[in-house]
Amino acid sequence: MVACFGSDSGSDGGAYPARPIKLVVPFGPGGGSDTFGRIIKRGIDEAGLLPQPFVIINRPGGSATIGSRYVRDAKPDGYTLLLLHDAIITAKYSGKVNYGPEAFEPVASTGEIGMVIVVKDSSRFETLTQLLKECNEKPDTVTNGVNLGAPTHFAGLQLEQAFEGAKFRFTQSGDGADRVQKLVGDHIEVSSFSVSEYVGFKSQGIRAVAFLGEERCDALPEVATALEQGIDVVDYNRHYWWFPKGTPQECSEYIAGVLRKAMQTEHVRERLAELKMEPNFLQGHEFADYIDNQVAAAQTVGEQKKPDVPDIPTGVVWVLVVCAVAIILERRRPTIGSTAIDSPAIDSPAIDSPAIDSPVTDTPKASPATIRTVGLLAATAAYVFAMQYGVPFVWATLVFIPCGGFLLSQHKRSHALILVETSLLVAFGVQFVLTKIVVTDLP
Amino acid sequence: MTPTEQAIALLTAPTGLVLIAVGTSLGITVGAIPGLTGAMVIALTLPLTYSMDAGNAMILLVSMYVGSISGGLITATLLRMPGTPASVMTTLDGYPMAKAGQPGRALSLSIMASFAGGVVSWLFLIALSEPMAELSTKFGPFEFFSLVMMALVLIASVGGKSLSAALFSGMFGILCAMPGVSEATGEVRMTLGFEDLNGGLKLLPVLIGLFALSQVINDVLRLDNAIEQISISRQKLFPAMADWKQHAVNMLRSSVIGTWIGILPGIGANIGSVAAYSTARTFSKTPEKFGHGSEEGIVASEAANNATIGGALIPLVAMGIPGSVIDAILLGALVLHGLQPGPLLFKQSPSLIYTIMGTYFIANFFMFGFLVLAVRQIARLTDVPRAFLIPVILTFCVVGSYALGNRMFDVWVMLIFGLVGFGMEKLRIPLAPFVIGFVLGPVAEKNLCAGLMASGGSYLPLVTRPMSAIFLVISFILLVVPQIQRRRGAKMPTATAS
Repeated sequence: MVACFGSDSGSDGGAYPARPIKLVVPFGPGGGSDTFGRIIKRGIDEAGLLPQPFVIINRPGGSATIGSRYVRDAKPDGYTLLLLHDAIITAKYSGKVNYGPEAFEPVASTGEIGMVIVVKDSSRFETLTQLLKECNEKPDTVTNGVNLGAPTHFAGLQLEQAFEGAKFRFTQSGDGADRVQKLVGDHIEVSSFSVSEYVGFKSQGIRAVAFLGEERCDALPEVATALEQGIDVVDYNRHYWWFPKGTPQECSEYIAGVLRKAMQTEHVRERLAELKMEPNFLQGHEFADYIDNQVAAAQTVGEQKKPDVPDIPTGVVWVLVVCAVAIILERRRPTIGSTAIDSPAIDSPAIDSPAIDSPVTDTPKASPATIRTVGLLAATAAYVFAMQYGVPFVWATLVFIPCGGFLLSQHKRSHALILVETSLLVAFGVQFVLTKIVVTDLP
Repeated sequence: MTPTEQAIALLTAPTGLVLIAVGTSLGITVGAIPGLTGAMVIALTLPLTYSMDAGNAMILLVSMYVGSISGGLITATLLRMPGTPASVMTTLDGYPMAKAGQPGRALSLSIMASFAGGVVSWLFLIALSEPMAELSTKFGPFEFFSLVMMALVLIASVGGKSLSAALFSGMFGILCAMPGVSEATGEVRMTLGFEDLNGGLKLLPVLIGLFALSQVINDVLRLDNAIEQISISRQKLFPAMADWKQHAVNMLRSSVIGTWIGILPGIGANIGSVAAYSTARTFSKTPEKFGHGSEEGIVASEAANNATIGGALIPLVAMGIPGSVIDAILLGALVLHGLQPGPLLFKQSPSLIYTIMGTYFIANFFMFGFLVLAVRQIARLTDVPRAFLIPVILTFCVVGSYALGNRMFDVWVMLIFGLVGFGMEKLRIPLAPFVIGFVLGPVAEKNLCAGLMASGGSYLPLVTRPMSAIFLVISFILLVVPQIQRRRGAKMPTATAS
């Protein structure tokens, strides 16, 4: 797997970065992290800070754990970067995954955004105090849309802690864009957003009741802080950059340097100012210490009980069993005039399956054909095995296509030359397209 | 620039037009070659769009979609082999007509009808998408859950002959989508100890396996069958004005039927053409000709199968719910390009939606032009020996699965699902419900759990919220009525016999 032709670098020093660097954003587009990542990307691109393309890949889902796991498991070669805020800590302490910041190489921390508590424009809640009072009087009635185990969830938990007896009804509500839709559609009553998300979504009909900062936010002077309203909660969100564990220190330092410069570019400055995000920058020990503090804070809120949802997998398995029994019963019975969808004349067998052509399907399986098929599948499996254990793609393909073709053409000599030509064309063509034009690399 | 202008700029740029031309012609070629389907080639192209921006990627993929559904008509007419399943109905009349010495006329009618179907359904696409997206922004978790249930029931009850087989397939799809991090709770489950399964099974390798690899296995098994091909040299292909007039009503009716069937989630082009074909026969003055070279039959089938594309794009862009297997791949493409399909797509990236709509419109013209000009050359292409094609396709299957996540694990998933797909077909279990279940299962689960968390564990809102209740009632009717009809249909002959 290591031998990626022409792109095997990273280890041989000065060449880094020799390939495009992938930035994994573990959230859907339009959210705070995605917006931030794209601002930095533009800063890097415009100032030409990286000699290679900087590519953003959204891998949303599982409260950012799908993306973070992807990066954790990626090759630590300095080409896969993760942009993830405190969710990297909260995911662990809510029992969602068994790894936290320790499973990554910290690169840097950039930017600092405040959090706001948000309701729909027409909501009866005017202030945070009013909201929490109702949560106290009628616990577990006010729905708070969060990403379970993510910072939005922890912001809610901190509010509960700060106001004796208040209880939200936490509801899994997905990413920022999802939560706005649910808020506006009256499916949830309260949610929390980062200031940049809030600024982006405000026009859709939502209103902040509190800013969880030490002082009022310049971007939202009309929004009172939680502290002003007598609720002792301060919660900031920072964007952290991570490499998979084991990535060479030089890569981390190189990228941290690029990010530091990117934060200074005019584009980034302007856009962060628009979002009222502080252009803070931490790297190295400073960053590591900061993370340790955040981990300690998360531990005090403690482990959450798992959400109470029905056991859907078991249900699906039962339905599957019932269907299987029904199929068996159905096929035992002699079929009486099966009235298909419409008319009996249209009894073509290929209507619901992608198998094409009617007349030929019924050919009895000739044994040479079966042998050929099994042979080809075995050849394919061997081809994949070979690449898994280090045979480069081009060589494997150059062998595989002529062999497969030879097998299928009943060993006709006349085909051999064309097959070899085809294999050359495909092997080098695919290699060129995928490694030079497309970002991915080949085995 | 307004979103519409952006879309127009993208589409009229040289890159945009070249992509449409490439996509449409490639789609037609692949559609024309029996053994290669649109789903297969689009799934294999998806990794190649990785480096394009989302707009260009959708231009290429939508053009291929249009081309691949249309290309099937060539072999359906000349070889009696539908190049894609969508053209099954065209073989019934196209081939007899071609055999009777009028292959040019059969092709010309098919091309004309395909074009008309595309344009009519495009009108529906632009008219209905936005209102539908608007309506569905009001949907909460319970509504989405009921809607998805309706889609699943729909494909199971209408899509196949055996309800239990289709339901089994759909449920199996849902089950296969479950390993990994749960969308609802974020917990990791059902990984059977494989760390690699934590990210779940990805759509693309599964699709490539189910549709490309299993098709290859089928092809290899029946490699020896030679078919007599009808030649079409020196025949006029551009449809005459008289033909347009003569078939106008039939084309319009079939296109509308195709569009509406396309909108129904989970039902693809094949059912659309079946429905339009039988409707055309009902209305025809010469129903006895159907099946023996009827012009109306050809027109109905081809207009409807092209119209389902536009129809199926409606729920895709409006709600993020795929109307067919190919739409499921397009959905995957949107996600791959960092877009969140759903009702908010209209607000967040309107220009992309207009790009999709515009591509669909322009691709129909390209398709028409290509078919009229190059049908002879394309027909000759189908002679390429499988022995050359199949190893190349296998290579693309492997590369396509790998390129998605740079993991060999995905390649093994692809190989395993190739065998699964082949096995399911052998057992006469349809594959389409599997794909729809695979795509929609997690959506259903996520929404049900979110709804239950909001309601404090009560299932009551499923029936007390009006839209949700309506969807459930429709699903129930769809599930039960065909069964009753089937029973009656089965009982009747026995009653008369006794």
